[in-house]
Amino acid sequence: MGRLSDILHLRREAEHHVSDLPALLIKAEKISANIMHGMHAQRKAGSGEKFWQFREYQETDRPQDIDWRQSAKTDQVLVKQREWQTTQRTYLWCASGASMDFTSNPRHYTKQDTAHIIALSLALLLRQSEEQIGLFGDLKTGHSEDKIQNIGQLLLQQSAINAPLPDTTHFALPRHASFIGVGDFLSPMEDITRTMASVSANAENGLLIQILDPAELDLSYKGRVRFRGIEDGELELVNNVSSIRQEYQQRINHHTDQVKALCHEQNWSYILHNTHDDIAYTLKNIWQLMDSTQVQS
Amino acid sequence: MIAFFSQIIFMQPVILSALLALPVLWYLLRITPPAPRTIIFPATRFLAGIVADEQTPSKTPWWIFLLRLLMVTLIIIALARPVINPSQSLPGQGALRLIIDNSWASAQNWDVQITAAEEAITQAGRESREIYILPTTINTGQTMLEQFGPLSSGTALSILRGLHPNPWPADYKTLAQYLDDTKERKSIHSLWLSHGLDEGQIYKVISTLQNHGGLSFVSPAPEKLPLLLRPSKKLTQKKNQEQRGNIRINIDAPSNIAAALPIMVQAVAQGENIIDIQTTMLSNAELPKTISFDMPEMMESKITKFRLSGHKGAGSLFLLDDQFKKRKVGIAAPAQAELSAPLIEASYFIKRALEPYADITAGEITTLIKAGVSVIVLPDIAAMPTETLNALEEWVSEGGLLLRFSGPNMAELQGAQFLLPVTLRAGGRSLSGALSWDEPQTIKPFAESSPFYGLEIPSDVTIKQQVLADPAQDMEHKIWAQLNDGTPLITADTEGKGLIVLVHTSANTQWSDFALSGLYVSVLKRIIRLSGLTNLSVERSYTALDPLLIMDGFGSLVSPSASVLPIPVENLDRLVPSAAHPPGLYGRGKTQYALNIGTNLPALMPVKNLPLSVAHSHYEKDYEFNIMPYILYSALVLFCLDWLIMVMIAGSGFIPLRKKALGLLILCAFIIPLHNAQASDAQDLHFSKGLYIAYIKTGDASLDSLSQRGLETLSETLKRRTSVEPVGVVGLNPESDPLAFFPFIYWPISESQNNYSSKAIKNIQFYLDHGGTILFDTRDQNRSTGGIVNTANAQALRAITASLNIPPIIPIPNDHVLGRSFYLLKDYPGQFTAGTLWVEQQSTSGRDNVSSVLIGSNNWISAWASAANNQAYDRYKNDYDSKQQEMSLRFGVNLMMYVLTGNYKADQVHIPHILKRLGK
Repeated sequence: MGRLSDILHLRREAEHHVSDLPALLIKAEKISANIMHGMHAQRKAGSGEKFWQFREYQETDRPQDIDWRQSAKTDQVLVKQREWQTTQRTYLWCASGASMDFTSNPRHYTKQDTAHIIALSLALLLRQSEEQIGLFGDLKTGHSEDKIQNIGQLLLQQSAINAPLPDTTHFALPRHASFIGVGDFLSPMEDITRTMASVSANAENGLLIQILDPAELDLSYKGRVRFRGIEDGELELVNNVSSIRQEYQQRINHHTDQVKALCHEQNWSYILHNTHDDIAYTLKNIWQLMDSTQVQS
Repeated sequence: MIAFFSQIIFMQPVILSALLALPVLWYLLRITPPAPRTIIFPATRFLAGIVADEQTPSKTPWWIFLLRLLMVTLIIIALARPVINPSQSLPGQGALRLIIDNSWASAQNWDVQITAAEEAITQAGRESREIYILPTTINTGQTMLEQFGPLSSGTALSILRGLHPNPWPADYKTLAQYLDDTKERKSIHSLWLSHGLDEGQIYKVISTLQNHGGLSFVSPAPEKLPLLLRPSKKLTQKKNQEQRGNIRINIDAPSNIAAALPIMVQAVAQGENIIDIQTTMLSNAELPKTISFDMPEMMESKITKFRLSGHKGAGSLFLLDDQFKKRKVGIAAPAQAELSAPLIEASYFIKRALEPYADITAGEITTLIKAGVSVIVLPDIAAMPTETLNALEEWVSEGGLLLRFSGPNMAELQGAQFLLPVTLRAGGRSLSGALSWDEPQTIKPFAESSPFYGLEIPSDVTIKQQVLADPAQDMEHKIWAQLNDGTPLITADTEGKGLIVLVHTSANTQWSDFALSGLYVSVLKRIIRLSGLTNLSVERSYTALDPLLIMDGFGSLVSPSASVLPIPVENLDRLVPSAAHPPGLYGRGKTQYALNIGTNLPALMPVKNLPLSVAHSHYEKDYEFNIMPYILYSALVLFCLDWLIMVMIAGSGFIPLRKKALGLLILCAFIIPLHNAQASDAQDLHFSKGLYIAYIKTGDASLDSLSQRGLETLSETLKRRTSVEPVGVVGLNPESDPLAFFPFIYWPISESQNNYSSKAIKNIQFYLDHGGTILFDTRDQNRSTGGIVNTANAQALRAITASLNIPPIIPIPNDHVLGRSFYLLKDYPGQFTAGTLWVEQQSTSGRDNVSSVLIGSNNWISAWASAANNQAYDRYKNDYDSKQQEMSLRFGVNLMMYVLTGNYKADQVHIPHILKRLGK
């Protein structure tokens, strides 16, 4: 299966998987209808479009904000305040780097491609429900076709960068935003915990999609194999893979459990996706999860 | 076992150094057993610290590993070209005596013999041993064996180079004697480089040599033992065998020769032209082996020598002289069956005596003369018709040899005597009998001038009766043989170019027992040998034959050196070649005698049963036994074994199943025969067996049947009027049928013709490009207005030809050969006449100027088909239809002639000019 290297291909794949879910789409619209996606009135002055109140001009206010018509009616110089509206903004993050660029069977997508497809599919789905979507690392959000395209392109561009975890040092998630992270999350648990803590500090809710190759889950190799790690280039020579399979499976399960536990600790959702599984199925699960969390929020 | 391995030597020992790489291989196979696959694995981190429990299946089992190592070792060893060879270390200590056989039998293995000697000398030189060299033949001009030594290795080598085989037998007797004389030199180890034959008393020599200090004996391998050509001595020939041109030669060999040896004998004529080659297997069970050459007498007489192909030396060359050639001898006697007492008739004795040496025919004298015999024997014939006599006289004076025997008839001879060397006295002379007191006479030894000189006279031969000659002055030199009392027994005289020989006694036992003796045979043999020689003389003026051409040791004919002596005639038949008389051609005047080594050599004795204390071996280069193939085979077997094991282990994951399937597939590819294309082959074969006229099926049934009928009529006409005999008419579909078998295809164009696929177009193009001719007929001349215009059929034609690569075409020129290839035609009528026929402007080369396409619109096929309804003679009627049909058929005939014969008739263009020129 060819690598997803151009946006058209990626888009096609994502659309394909999304279109496999007509029920999902209907549901998405239903959700938007129910919970008025995009408009989350905060009942206090803000930068919304709806009028909130007039108040007296203060030195800190911008002169442009003075409502001259109202000011003329009174002696005071009034400033028209609008309701502080926050839109539901969702930031997608996709792990990238050599670690993601792996598949145990060339007939299946690499973890990277799977992650891209899932990320973009989610973007498409979220657009359906008129969410503001953005990429982690870039404050701007939107739900235009342009934005989707932009997200797809950026995903592809970033795949060369080695980023096993979200880079929280250079970008802080805006408050009340949602975070969707897609990656293999094979980094040491401390790193994951630290990063997630800083991400979740601002996030209203979050979702981690851990994408793993089946080989990574059950070590389906035989005989004498030298395993070479990706990040640190560590080498492990195993004389008989089958003999250590069980122990490895315990270890990897422990790790995924830890990641899952971490998510639940922060009231985030967690999904494990096996690259040989159907993406659409996973998407459906994800959507159900998001639905419930959103309804909760 | 150790002895076996010590006999292996390597021809390419350098390659063995590759064995040093085996440890590397060990490292590759063992230290990093099946090289671990390196897998880039993101979750490697989680593997850290996990210890694998067991390691067994990840390693190559030691025995498989051993197998592979063995395989590689075997291949390396095989590439080093091992040969099994007896070791050739130099035996003994102290001085070394090399006994080198250099007789006729050595020539064949001379090179290996010399190589062995060189090696021995070099080795001896290294060990600073004195060397003696002792050849076993006496050299030309010598009377004793030569011994060289003590020598240094350098001198020994130069002496060795001076040695060469001699074309005569070795003298082991002298050798033994010589060795006895040199008893004082004890403790000389001898190395006998033998040719493998016992040339008399070899065991005596061997025991002497052993007493002297030990002996190592080296002989050629069984398949390299010397061979010898001998004359065939079988006196009686198989009765059923055709007498004509049966010339034989024997091949002799020592009895310990290899069981089956392919040999080739060449019959060589003058100038080294090989006339015939006979191949046979020489088997040690059947020695000597006789080889017959069956060839016409003409060729037989041209043979000058036989040669064993691929063998060197005097033994493999057999020279022929006149003696060997068979004469045609005619006996003037009725055929044997008609004789009343066949076994005591004179002619029977003559026949039996001469049979091995001559082709004998019996019959009337005139018949014999006509048959072209060179000798006519008249057993006791005293009178004959005048015409026969005249014919005989003429024959003799032209060079014939007339041999007459006496008898009662001759004795009673009255009146005119004819064709006699001497005048006979009337009445015979009886030497014994009731009324005689004379004792039967014995034969006097032959005089030197007699052709029989040298023949031994048995003492028990007595002559009881003879005819007597009238004494005459010149009679002395006419007498070839006499009785002891001086009366002539055999007289001879020339007559013109011929010779008349008279034996004064009877050819059978009636008058003497001469006919029962071996002398009778020898005498007759010598007499008939005289025939065919021009310039016959009654007297022999020589007693010895001079050497003309002499064989050297390798069997080449060279001019004799001064030391070669003439052969005395008396020794001729028993002479064994020697230093003084090497084999070769001897002769004087017109007489030639071939002295061959094989003629009188005693039976070839193998060297067998050597004493155990004698180290016996074969020449190294001779007996090397290449074991490379066997080692390679065993490596292959190991490889297959390894593969099998791998396949079996594959179940447990060694080889993916897919590879097994692939192997099976490959196997199947070899096994599964090709089934396809056989049916069409049969059809192709059918069409290629005769001339078929073909048309293209248009799909329009009525048109196709019209084509069928039209062409059938045409082929009938062709059969009736020309030598072209078409076997049948075939309808073709260019989409599927091969066109190549049909020289001519008629293509009626119809609108219904659908578009042809590119495959069909390719098929047609290939046909046109490879010599085929197609006549396209649009059949619509009536609808067109001159030329081919845009009628529907023309459109269809254009559609077909659009994709065909057709050379430029022109309206047929007036002098085109199509107009006169059989009939003289002005136009090319079919149903219509006016249509233009288009042909290629310039025919491609190699087509004999036959246009690949002909395009017209005259609807010939209809005309031909309608002619079928008309009786043949009707067509000569003068009405328009019949005439038109006839003309169209004539065009058809011309067309086929043109297609089949090309520009053959075009030559007629020049006939008037040629005739004109001839007239002048």
